[in-house]
Amino acid sequence: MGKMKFEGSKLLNVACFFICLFLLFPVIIILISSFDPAKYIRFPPSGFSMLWYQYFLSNANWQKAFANSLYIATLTTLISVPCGVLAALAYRKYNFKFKNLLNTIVVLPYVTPSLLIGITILMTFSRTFLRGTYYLVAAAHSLWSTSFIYLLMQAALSNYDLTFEEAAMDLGASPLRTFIEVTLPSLKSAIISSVIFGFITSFGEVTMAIFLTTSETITLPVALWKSLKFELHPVALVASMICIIFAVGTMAIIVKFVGIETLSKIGAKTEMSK
Amino acid sequence: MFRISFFIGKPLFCYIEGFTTENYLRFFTDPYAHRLLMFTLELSVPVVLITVPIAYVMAYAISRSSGIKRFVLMIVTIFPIWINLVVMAFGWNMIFAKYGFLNFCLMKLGLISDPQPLGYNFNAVVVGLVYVCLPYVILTLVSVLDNIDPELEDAAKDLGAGKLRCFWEVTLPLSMPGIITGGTFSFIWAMSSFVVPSILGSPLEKTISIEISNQVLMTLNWPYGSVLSLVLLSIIGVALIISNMVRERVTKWVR
Repeated sequence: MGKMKFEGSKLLNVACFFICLFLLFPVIIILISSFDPAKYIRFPPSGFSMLWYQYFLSNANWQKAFANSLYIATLTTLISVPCGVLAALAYRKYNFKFKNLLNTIVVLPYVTPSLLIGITILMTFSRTFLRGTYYLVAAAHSLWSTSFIYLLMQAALSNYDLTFEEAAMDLGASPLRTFIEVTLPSLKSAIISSVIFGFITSFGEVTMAIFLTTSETITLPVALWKSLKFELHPVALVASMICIIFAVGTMAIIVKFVGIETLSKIGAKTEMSK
Repeated sequence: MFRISFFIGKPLFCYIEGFTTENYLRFFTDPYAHRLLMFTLELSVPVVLITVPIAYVMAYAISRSSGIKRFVLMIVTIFPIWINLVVMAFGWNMIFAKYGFLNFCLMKLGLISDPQPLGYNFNAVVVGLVYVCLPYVILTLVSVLDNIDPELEDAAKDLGAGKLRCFWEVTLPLSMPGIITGGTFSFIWAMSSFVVPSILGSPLEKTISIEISNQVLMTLNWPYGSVLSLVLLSIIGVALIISNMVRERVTKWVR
């Protein structure tokens, strides 16, 4: 294909460049403006300072939101990684009656708009003690991240060799021991990616969290949304930067572990599954 | 939710148990609700029409490149998926703001003398939604375009087809299923997205998702909110069914 020269390939490159610019544009603007010491957000920035970063670090409300986000993301990871990984393993290893149904059910939360999931969960649990707790938010996020992890693991498992497990069992290892000593190590990179994936999907999720959090359990993206909606303050830029930094960091790790092609397939697959 | 939709709605009291079809009647008779729905549809259609061609160009470029170029393009494509919706919307908000980037550029270029209100309107929401949908549609199209056998294109060329004709008659029809999936996806996302219109849109032009959240969080009329949610859900369902039918037909027609 390399030899094939498309006639408008120069035009294509130019178009491509502009699309890339479009995709990166908002982030670049936030990055530039977050170092602006001015009290009102405006372009071009009036100078360079870390003023709002310091403000963010000393403000109790933003700190709480940040800590809540980390806590909820950790809970979500703890719930969704075992679920997603084991479901994908079961799908790969065994043949059972409801195999296709499993696929549909696991992917369903991803297809349903998160607005509706959030509202439904709010309505269902509104008169129980779970309302507004960390656990409810984490449970809602787990619905989502489980289906992500399931798809990630499925992609990773597609070239996973089952014969090693059989060999271990033949040599007399118990199923549990086989799982711990053979299956887990060989899937190490995929599982690490799942952990990070689960963490970041929860950390960045906002639509469900808007409906499920209270002022006590507010997460960073929700705090950001509220500040955009009600009172715009430059510290919101810093909060955005923190989200972006997390995104870049986790993306770099996952690209290193499972490769960009696998990752792109998940993005495509989540749609195809509809 | 289906059950709550039949409960008696009483603003500020969430719901009272009982059975009534009043909420459904309200939806079907209220002109405001119809306008809401029409506005949401009017918003979603341009989003699809803008997203798909842009995504196709990018996807075509990705699938025709290799090595480091492909890697960089992929990273740039996937990146917006990883930052959350609020941050994206915030970025666009700042670009369209009164003292934002776009006004600054226009003023520097001498096109306008005073900052114009560019944000908080229909166009800003469309741009925001296109931005949100674009990466997913690109990835779908890349996976479809990658699967097209390059020999088919070569064969068409050997048979004397021009490059443009080859693209028009071989590549484009073969990637039709991907275009349909991507289009449906962006339609659904545009219909149901809540964060982007809530930040970039004007408070006067509400989409159905914003009205749902208002009914649930502000007015506290949950039964009516449920009715609206079910309407949204059924539109999405219908869109999926139609797109599946069209896709099957197209796939058959191509073969």
